[in-house]
Amino acid sequence: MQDNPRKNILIVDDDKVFLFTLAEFLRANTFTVTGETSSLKALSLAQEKPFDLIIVDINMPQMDGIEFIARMHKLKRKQKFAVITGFPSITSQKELLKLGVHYIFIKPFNFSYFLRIVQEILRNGTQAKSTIGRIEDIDLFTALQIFSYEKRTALIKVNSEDGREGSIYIKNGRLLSCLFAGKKGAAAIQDIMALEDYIFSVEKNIRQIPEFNINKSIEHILLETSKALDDRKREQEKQSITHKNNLKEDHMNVKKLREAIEVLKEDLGDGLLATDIYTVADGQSIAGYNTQPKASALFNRVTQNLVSSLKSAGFPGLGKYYILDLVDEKLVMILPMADFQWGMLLDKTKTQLGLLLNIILPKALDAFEEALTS
Amino acid sequence: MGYRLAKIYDIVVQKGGTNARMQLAKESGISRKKAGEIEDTPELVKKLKRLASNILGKELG
Repeated sequence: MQDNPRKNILIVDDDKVFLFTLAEFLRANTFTVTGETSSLKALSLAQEKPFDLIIVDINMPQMDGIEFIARMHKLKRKQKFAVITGFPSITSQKELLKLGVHYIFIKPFNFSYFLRIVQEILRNGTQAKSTIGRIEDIDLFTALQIFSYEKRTALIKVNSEDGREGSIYIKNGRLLSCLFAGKKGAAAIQDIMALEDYIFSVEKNIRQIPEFNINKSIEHILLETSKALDDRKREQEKQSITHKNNLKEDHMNVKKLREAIEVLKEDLGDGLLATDIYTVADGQSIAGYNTQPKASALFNRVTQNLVSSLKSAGFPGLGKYYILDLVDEKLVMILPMADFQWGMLLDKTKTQLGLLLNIILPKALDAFEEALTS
Repeated sequence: MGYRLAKIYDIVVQKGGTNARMQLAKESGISRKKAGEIEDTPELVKKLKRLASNILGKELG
């Protein structure tokens, strides 16, 4: 099916090869296409010349896709927008939909599917049906039930907020395969259903059917998964109580820990933005300042991965700490301490590194050790 | 003063980092600071050496 050849499309993507491929594909389907690798130049161009549709890559230097669209949005032009991204975070999705973006293409995508959506956006002039879940208030649990009821065939891609990926393959309403972050089958579906922050997208044109590792009806697997998750939650609650009791038995003096945090705050002043002492068992903070539960869980995993990777590579193990230099003049410092880790988020502009490493850090370690042994 | 006890701690930190140090503190009930302050009794030295060897996975000299 061919569309009006006079429809003008602007594609903005700093990946020259991808831009060329996409542009040529659309031109072959009778669109007039302009490609631009620089978001700044594209912004000037779009302000001078009217386009029917602007397709923007989110991740670009100088000005990212979100900022580009936000600036175009202020001009109140009538063109439509679609974006291309490798991994759409939930936050950026919400921002984009607020800005009236019609569709979010997640790489890699099928070009025929891409063409169909582009034609639909230009034809209907309304926001195309998004197959990205959660935003439309349909969670994966509900979507799977719909697929089961309608005996659908689909490949569902799942991306969690913390970067894990997976897929669920359904044929004629029957769940045949599930993969997630290295796990497969029932274990994978349980982990997916336990996610709190995720997005999913549905592919109808399935290029490669994954290996079968389940063969049950969706209702059956959802029932089993619900039960397994309830059991898991009960077990976690039991372990949490046991762990907290063990902390007391291990003579971890939480009062002294809090004193240690106060000393750190005093020594670092405005340089200390947040700090948490958390358990390795579950990444839960037991003492802190401006506590960051998600960061504690994240760095607990990062540190454990780092430790095991160093070991398997035959490298020496971690010493006293490791530091991550982040953008925006921020530093993260993690001190691994047996059953605990101590994480700190610092403002580089207000922290003297020499003082931190040679005086403040040894003091903090001594204070922690006191809490451990008192 | 606990010269030998402190020395055991130095070896543990050198070979095992802060992880090993805190593990030793937890299992012995003696912090590094305290190890440098209390007396080097043969029992304590033997105990700390044994714990340190277990933690590091090798015999201390």
